[in-house]
Amino acid sequence: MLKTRLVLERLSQNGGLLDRREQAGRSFLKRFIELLYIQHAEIPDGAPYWLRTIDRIDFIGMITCSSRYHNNNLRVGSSPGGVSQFMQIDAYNDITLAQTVPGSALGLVIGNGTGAVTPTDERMGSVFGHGRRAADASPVIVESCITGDDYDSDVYGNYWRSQAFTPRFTHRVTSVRVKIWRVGSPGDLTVRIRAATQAEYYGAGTRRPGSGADLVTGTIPQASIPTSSPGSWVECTFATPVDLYTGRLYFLILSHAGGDTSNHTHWRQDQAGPAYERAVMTRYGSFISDSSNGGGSWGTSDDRACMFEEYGQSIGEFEIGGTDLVEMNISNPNGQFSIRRYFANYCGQSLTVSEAGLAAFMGRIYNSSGYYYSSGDVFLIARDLVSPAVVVNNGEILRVSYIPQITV
Amino acid sequence: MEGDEIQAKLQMKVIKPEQIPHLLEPGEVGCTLEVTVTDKEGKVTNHRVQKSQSFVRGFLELLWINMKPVDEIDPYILMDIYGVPRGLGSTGMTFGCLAAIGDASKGIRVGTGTLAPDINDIGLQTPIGHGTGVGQLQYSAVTFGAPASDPTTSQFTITRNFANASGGSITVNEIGLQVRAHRQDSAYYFLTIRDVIAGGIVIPNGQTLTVNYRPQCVV
Repeated sequence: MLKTRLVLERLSQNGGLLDRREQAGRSFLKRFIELLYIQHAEIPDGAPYWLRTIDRIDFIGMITCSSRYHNNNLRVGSSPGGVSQFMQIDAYNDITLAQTVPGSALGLVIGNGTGAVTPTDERMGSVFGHGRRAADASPVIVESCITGDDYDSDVYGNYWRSQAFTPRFTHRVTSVRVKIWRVGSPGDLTVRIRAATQAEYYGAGTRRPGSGADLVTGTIPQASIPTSSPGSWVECTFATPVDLYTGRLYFLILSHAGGDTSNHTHWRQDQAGPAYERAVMTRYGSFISDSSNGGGSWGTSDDRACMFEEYGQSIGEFEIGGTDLVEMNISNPNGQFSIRRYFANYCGQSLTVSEAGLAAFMGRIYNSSGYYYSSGDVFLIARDLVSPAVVVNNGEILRVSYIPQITV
Repeated sequence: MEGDEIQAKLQMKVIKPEQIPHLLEPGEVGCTLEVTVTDKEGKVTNHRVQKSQSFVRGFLELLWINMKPVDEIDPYILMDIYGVPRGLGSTGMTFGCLAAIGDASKGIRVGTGTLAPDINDIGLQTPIGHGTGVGQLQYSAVTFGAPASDPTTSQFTITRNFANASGGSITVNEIGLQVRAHRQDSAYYFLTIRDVIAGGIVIPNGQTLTVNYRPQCVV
């Protein structure tokens, strides 16, 4: 049997122990079982098992194809929070994918959510990002492209449009503003944010809105959409804000349930070298992704940007160290190791920690017509509420350890 | 009767949430162990469900290798089921236990040993071999039930049948799970679970033992 202890130690800037909290972990989730299942059952590329990432995208889970071996499955060891790490997913002789994962998205994570833990949790309630940013008292503009619009892209029926963006810092998205106008009566406009698929082949790849669940949705009533060109800025506030993680790619998607060529919304777009540079997955920089079948499949266009502003609030940041695995020790009848990470608070205010979790990586490789394709993503495998919550004052360090222990 | 092969019927299905056995405490990661003996007509002659007692060190060590992850250039050394030290790094094959008919190197294995489990166990005490000879059982392929969950528990299922065509009764006292891990293209095998069945479970000649291990997490 395996049980886990969760230890939170509050340290002074000099490393002196101020307070120590230990609680039983309650903690491993269905994603952990699923990653073990994929490994135990040796799920092949011909009959994969689908599971959800930390951004609620459906991911094709499988072990590496025959005779191929590295996929970093179940990896929780990570680089420091501000460093993207190079995830090697390789075959016998070839490195087929240079997947990068932000250090803050992998390994031991902490947050201030208080919702009850369930086996099917896919995300933390709310997670602290990496850095020294204090909590925002009110929503601020996180990402935006607001100038240079010279084109109208049509939104109606099965024609969905999206703008890629990567948040500068981890935050809870509260609303977006888009520059739009309409022709006729296309109905209400649906606004959604969905995470991107990971790169699929040879490192670069193209990334599109993934299948799975929207992270957040909202509606702009038809009556709020102006009727004359070039339109104006219209806001959509999300009833249930969610976290968007820094260093990860998201798409802001606009769609109508109905409409046609005479009844549609124009989303203003810059097609001549837009200034937005925070969704750079191609040599041209910013890109958009369009669907002509209601989100069933997507194509991308380089060097374009739709007019948008994305608003959100940080819950505060820690300077996050690397996640390390230490102190493997087996002494009959027990065996254990520690998964440990340091969080330093230099944001200028106290931060309250009420949840902890583990995010693990899994990669895959598959063979298609003699070419090896590969990808990888991050999954929440454990989540615990910290009760009572731990308040970490400015200048203090929090050392968090998950300690899995087996006992015979 | 000795030497006659018995065709064991395999069934694989996703267990319904209301059928998930609840033997683990909140916060535990472990397995339930279900053993069923059936006769030729499929009638159940013995059935037990119990908490698996014993992840052994191999489970923790392989978890460590993958979670850290350990690089094969600076490997972690652990003992395989033959007692040979193997230096391993993280690979995509770790924990694999898909096994074909008669493959006793990995998957669920059974034995006659009665020694209490020890965290340092690296193999079954007295494994039963595959075959129809005296003291042997016919190992089916290993099958899996996909992950399922209810409001507290998530799990998947590992299943194997052991048919007795040896001509006499066989008493199974120990059950374990053996998995593979790779170094380069070479596979080695490691014990991750070992359980001893109190009093043993008798498989009369002509009957089949079905073993279900269900790894579970309980929040």
